[in-house]
Amino acid sequence: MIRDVNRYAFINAKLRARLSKMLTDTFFDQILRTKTLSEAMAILKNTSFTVMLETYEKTGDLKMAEKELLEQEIGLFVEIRKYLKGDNWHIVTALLIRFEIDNLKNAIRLFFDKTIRSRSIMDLGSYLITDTIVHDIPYVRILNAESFNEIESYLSDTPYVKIISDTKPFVEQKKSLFDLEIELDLFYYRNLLEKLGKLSGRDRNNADRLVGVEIDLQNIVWLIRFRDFYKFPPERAMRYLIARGYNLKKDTLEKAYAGSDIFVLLKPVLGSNYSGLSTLLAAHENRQISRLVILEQILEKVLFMEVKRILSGYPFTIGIILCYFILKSNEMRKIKTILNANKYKIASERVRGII
Amino acid sequence: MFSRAMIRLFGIVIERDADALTRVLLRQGVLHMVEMANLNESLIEHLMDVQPQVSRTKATETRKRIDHLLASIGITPAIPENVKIQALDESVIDGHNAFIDKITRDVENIRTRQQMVHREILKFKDIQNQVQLYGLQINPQALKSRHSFINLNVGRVTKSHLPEFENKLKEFPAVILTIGEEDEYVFLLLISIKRDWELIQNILTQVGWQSVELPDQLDHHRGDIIGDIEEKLAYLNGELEKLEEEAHSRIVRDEKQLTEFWIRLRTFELFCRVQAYFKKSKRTVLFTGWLPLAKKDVLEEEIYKATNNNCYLEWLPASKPFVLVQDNDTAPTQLSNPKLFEPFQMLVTNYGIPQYGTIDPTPVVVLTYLSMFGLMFADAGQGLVIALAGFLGRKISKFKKLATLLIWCGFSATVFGILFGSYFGMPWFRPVWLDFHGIVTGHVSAEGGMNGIFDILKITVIFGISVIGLGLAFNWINLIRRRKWFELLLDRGGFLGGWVYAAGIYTAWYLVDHDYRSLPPTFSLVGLLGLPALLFFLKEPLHFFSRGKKFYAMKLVDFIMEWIVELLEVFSGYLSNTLSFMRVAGLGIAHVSLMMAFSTIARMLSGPDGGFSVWAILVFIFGNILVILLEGLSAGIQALRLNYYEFFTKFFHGTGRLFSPISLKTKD
Repeated sequence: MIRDVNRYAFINAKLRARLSKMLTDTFFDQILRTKTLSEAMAILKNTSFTVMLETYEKTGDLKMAEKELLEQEIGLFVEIRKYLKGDNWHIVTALLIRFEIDNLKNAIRLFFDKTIRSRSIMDLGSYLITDTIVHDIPYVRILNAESFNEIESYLSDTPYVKIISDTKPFVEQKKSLFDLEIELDLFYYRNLLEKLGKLSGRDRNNADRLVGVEIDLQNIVWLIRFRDFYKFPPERAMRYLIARGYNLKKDTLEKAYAGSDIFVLLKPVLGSNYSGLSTLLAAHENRQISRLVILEQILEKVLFMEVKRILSGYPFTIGIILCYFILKSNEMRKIKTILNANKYKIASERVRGII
Repeated sequence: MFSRAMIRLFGIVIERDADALTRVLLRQGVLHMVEMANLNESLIEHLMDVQPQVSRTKATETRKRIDHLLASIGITPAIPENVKIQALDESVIDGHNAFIDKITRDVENIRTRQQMVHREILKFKDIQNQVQLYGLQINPQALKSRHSFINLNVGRVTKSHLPEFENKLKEFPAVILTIGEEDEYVFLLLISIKRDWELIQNILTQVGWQSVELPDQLDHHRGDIIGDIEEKLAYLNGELEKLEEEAHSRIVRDEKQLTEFWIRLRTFELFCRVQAYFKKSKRTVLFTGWLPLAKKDVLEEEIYKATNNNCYLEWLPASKPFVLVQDNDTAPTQLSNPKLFEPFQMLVTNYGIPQYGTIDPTPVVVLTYLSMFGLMFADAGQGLVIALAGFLGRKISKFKKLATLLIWCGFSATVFGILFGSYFGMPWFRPVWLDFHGIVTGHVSAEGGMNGIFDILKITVIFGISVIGLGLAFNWINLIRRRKWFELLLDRGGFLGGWVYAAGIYTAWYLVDHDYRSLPPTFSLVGLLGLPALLFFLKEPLHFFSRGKKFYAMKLVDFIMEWIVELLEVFSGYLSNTLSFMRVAGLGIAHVSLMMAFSTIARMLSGPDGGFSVWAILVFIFGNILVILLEGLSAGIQALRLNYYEFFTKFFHGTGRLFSPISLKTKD
C-alpha cells in the first residue's frame, strides 16, 4: 500500500489534474458547429490544445499545429517517465514507442512516395518529429535515403531493424508498405504486453483489462480494413491479429470475420461484464450497416467503461497512466479529425458519426 | 455574519406587459428567478411556457461566434448600463451571422496565405537543415560523392524562361542564385535536395536548362548561398508576421460592429432567460423569485411603473412556504462581506454555500485563517516578500483573489514575525511577545514565562479549543435560528456535545495541572462525563419515537450500538480535532528550524574573519526562497485544512445555494 502510494501519488495527482482539463461532450458539440477552421481553432483557446491555436495563428498551418501538439504530449510522457523506475519506466517507454512508430511510419511513407512512387514530398519532412522519442533515429536521413538497405543501416541500433529486413522483400516486391507497417504495429503491442507481463497484482489486472480491450478494438479495426479494403482470405486476416484481447478471443473474431452474427457471439461476453451494452447491441441488431463497424463503436464504449471503472477505483496503480494515454489519444484523434474536417469542408454530421 | 434577508415575490402581469416587466427585472438585476412547479391539474391546463419568437439557442451560438472572434484580439465585451433591451427577429441574427461569416472567410483566406508562406519557409529550412546536417560541400568533386544530399548545378536558361522556372521550383526546397548574364541568357546556380532530383530534372527540361561546367572557383559562393537562404528566411518570416497581424487587424477593423452585435445578442439571451421562468395564461403572465428584502421597494415601484399598475404582486417572507414551487425551494444566500474579505469568502464558498439564515463564517475565517498562517509562518521579512508577491500578482495575474490572499497572508506573517522576533529567519530584533528562536534553540531564560516547546504547543491547543468552541457556538446559533430544538439539545454539535467537550477540557486540564497523577474526583467525573454520555443514549430512541415508528425488541440493540458509536465519535472526534491544532506549532517550529539550518550553513561558508562570503549570501537567499515557497504553501494549506475540517464541520453544512439574479451583468 505505502509502496503504491510512493510510486504513484505524484503521477496520479499530475495526470488527474490533466484529466480534469479534458474536453467535455458539450465542447465537442460546440466545436463541431463551427463553420471555418479559424473559428474551430479559436475555441481551443484556454484548453490543453492552446498550443495548436498559437501555432495556427502564427503559421496558418494545421499540420504544423498538429505536430506541436504531438510534441507537447510526447514531452509529457517523457516527463512522467522521469518520475518512474523499473517496470513502470519500461511501460511508459513502451507507450512512447507508439509515437515513435507512427513517426517512423510517416518518415518511411515519405521516403516511399519519393523513391518508389516518384512523388514530390516537398516540405512534408518538416512535419516529422526529429527529436529522439525513445531511440535515436535519423529521420532526415531516412527521408533522403536512396534504398531500404540504407534505411536499415540507419535503424541498426533499434529494434525496428529486424522488422525492416524481414519485410523489405515484400515491400519492394509488392510496392506496398502494408507488411512493414502492420509488423511495426504488432511490435508495439508485443513489446507493451511483454512489459505489462512483468506487473503483478492490481497493476497487472488493470493493465490486462485496459490493454486487452484496446487490443480488441484494434483487432476489429484491422478486420474491417482486411475485409473491406484488402479482401483478405480469413486465414491471412487471422495471422495479423494481436493475441491477448480481453473480450474477443481468436475464435470469436474468426467467426465474426466469416460472417457469423457477431451480436449473438458477443452477447454472453459483453452482457455479463458491461451492463447497458446488451441494450446497445439489441438496438443495432436490425441495422443494415456493417456489423463490424457497429462492433467497433461498441468496443470503444467498452474501452471507456473500463477507463471509467479504473479511474473511479483504487487510485495508486499503473491504470492511471494507461487511462490517460487512452483518453488523451482519443481526445487528440477527435480534435484532429474535427479540425481537418473543418479545413476540407466535410459536413459536421458526417464527422459526428465517426468521432 | 448572516446572509442578507430575502423575500419571495410572486407576481401576475398582463401579457402585453411581459416584455416591459422583463426589461425591469433585467435592469434591476435583483430577482433570483425560480421555476414554477407543483402546478395542479386545473392550472396546468391553462398555463404554458413563454416562447420567444426567435430561438435563444441560435442567438447564443451567434454570440459565441463573436465571443471567440473578440477573444482572439483580446477583447471581453460587456453590456453597458444604458443598453436598449429589445427582442430580436430571425433576420437580424441571420444578418449578424452573415457579417461574421464574411470576417471568418477573410481571416481564413489570410491563414491560407500564411500557410503558403510558411511552407516556403519550411522548404528553405529544409535546405538549411540539410546543409547543417551534411555540410555544404561546394567543390565539384565533393558534390559528386554519393554521401552529399545537396545537388549543386550551374546552367543557363533564357531570360524569358526564368519566371516560369522560378514558379515551377516553388514546390521544392530549392534555391536559385543568379551568377551572371550573357545576351538573352541568365546563368544560374541551382541548389536543390538530391531526393527531388528526378522531378527537378523534368522541370529543367521543360524550361530549356543548359548545364554549364561547374567552375572550380565557385567556392566563394558558399557565403552567398547561406546568406541568401537566411535572407529569404528573414523575408518570409517577416511576411508571416505581417499576415498574422493582418488577420488580427481584420477582426479589429470590425471590432466596434462585433461588440455592438454581441451586446444586442447577449441582451436578447438574458431577456429570453428571464422569460423562460414565466408561465402564461391567455391574458396574463406569472412569475416568482427571491430578492433581498432591502431591494423590495425599488423593484415594486419599477414593476408598477412598467405595467401602469396593472399587476398583482404578492410578497412572502422566506419562512412561509409557497405552493407553486418545488418543496425544497428555500431562499438563496446572498453573502454580504466587505470587498477586502473577498479572498476569504472564496475560501468559504469553495467549501460550500451557507444555508439561508445561518452564519456566514467569512469574517471569522479572516481571523482564524490569518492567525493560523501567521503562527505557522512567523517571519517579518519573508512575510513582506509574500505580500509584495501578492501586490505583483494583483497587477499581472488574472487570479486577483488569490493574489489578495497572498497580501493578507504576507502581512499576517509580518505581524507574527515581529511578535516572535524573526526576520528572514534571523533574530535581528527583540521579539515583542515570544522568543520563538530562543525556545527552539533552548536559549531562552525561564523568566519570560514561556520557555519550552510545550509552551508553544499549549498556545496552539488553547487556540484550537477556542476555534472549536466558536464552531460549537455558531452551531447553536444556527440551530436556534432554524428552530432545530432536538439537535440543539442532544446532537454531538449541540449543548450535549458542548458539555462533553467542556468536561473533557476540564478533565485534561486537571490531569496536567496535577502532574499527570490524578483525575478529578469520581463524582465530578460522573457528573461531567458520565451524565452526558448517558443522555446521549436518549437521542436515537427519542428521534425514533418522535417519528411515530413501531418499536420491536431488536431495535433496542440498534439503539445501544448507535449510542456506543456516537460516544466513540464524540470522545475521539473532539480529542483528535483539538490535538490537530498542534500542527500549527509543528509547522512554526519546522519553519524556525529550517531557517536556522540555512543560517548555520551560511555561517560555515563565511569568510575566515566571520564576514559573509558570496556563497554564504547565496545560501542565505536560496534558503529563504525555498522556505517561502515550501513553508508558505504548506502553512496556507494547513490553515485551510484546519478551518475546513476542525472549524467548519462543527456548524457549516454548505447546502445553501448562492443568490444569483439574472441581470445585465450575468456572466454565464
